[in-house]
Amino acid sequence: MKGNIANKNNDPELIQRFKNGDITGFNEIVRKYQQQVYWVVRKMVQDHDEADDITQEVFIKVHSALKDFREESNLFTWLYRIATNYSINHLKKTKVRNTVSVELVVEPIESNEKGADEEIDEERKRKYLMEAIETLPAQQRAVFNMRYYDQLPYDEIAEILGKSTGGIKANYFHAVKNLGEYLKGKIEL
Amino acid sequence: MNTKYNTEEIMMLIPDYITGNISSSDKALVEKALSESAELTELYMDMKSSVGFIDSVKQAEPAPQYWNTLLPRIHERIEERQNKGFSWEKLSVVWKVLVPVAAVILIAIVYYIVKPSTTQLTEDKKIEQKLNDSTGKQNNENNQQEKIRDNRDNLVKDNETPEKIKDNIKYRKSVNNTDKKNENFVKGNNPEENKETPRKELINDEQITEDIDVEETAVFASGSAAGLDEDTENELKELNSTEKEKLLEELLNSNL
Repeated sequence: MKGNIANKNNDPELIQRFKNGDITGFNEIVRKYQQQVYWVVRKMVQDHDEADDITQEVFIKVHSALKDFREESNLFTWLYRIATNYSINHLKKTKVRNTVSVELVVEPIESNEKGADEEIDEERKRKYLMEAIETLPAQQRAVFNMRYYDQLPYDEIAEILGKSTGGIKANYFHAVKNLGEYLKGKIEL
Repeated sequence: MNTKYNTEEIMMLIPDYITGNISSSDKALVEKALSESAELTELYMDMKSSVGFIDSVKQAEPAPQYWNTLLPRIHERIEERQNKGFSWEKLSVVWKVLVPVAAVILIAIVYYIVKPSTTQLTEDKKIEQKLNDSTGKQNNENNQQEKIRDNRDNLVKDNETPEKIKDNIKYRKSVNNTDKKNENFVKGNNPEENKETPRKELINDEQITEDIDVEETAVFASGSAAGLDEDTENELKELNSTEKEKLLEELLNSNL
């Protein structure tokens, strides 16, 4: 699933409204970017409840720091940076490693199954993918999500993470390669 | 041309080539490299199946009402955090009084701890003053004692010593002998008057002598009490009345 980047045109107006003391500027920012922020976090932590908690923390941080936001980068890039950093910090705290479910190691998935089995297959595929993504280091995971799902340019990803463009390209290549190697052992690709 | 380097660059572009998120120039490079390299083609095939699987997985969407509840829950958390923070206005009246009072007490304690250095200085000054006063008194006393000694010395100087009294006695004897000669000479010039007068004078002298003798006895009896030795006393006893009379006059006229 690939997300859509929200319209950035009215961001300066919303920011200025908040700086003038109008809370509706902040409320509009939340409504405009809540899904993008949620999915950035969700793809990193792979769990809805954790993603919900981190998403709220991201917007609380925005509420406290928006008055000092100098608009040197656009608002979405700033939000993305906060969400990614909070997610990476969460992963480091929980130290998520290979969480291979014993049940899912056994059976490969046949792509032509349908009906009731489809739902089970979908659940299994999500679990396999979740496990595969969890094997990635935090930075590779962030780069993969931003490039694959959000289709962000390399230079913007580099700006968000504070890395070089060449390094980000290498991170993305290795993330895709590692996911394929993990999934090869689980499913018949 | 560094082929190896180009191979690595092409490898980096394959995932984007698979997803279609690539520029036209890069796309041409990848297609050319894939047609020339079996290794790159194999890599491309593996990645393509992985990306295909990932693309087929649908993420579990949260419930639709979730997006309506997120903003209110964010505001609830913001208010909770603001209420937990310290605010002077939240303190009760008791604390608003106690905190400043405690601060004043603490400052006073620190002040008194630091202060003794100045009080010690004043006490030291007082001690110095006392010492100066006591030494001044002592000096005054010493001066007074010196004055007393000086006076005593002066008095001793002024007082006639027994030796001096002896000298005076000898001197009077010699003076009296000269006076007798003068009396005889006076008689020769005016025999009758001198005869009469000497008799009257003698009589008077006898009376005076008698008086003097009494006085002498009274005075010179205390000679030993006055500090005179035996020789001096004996010499005084050998003096006649006239000599004694003259000695007494001289003693009275002195500064004794």
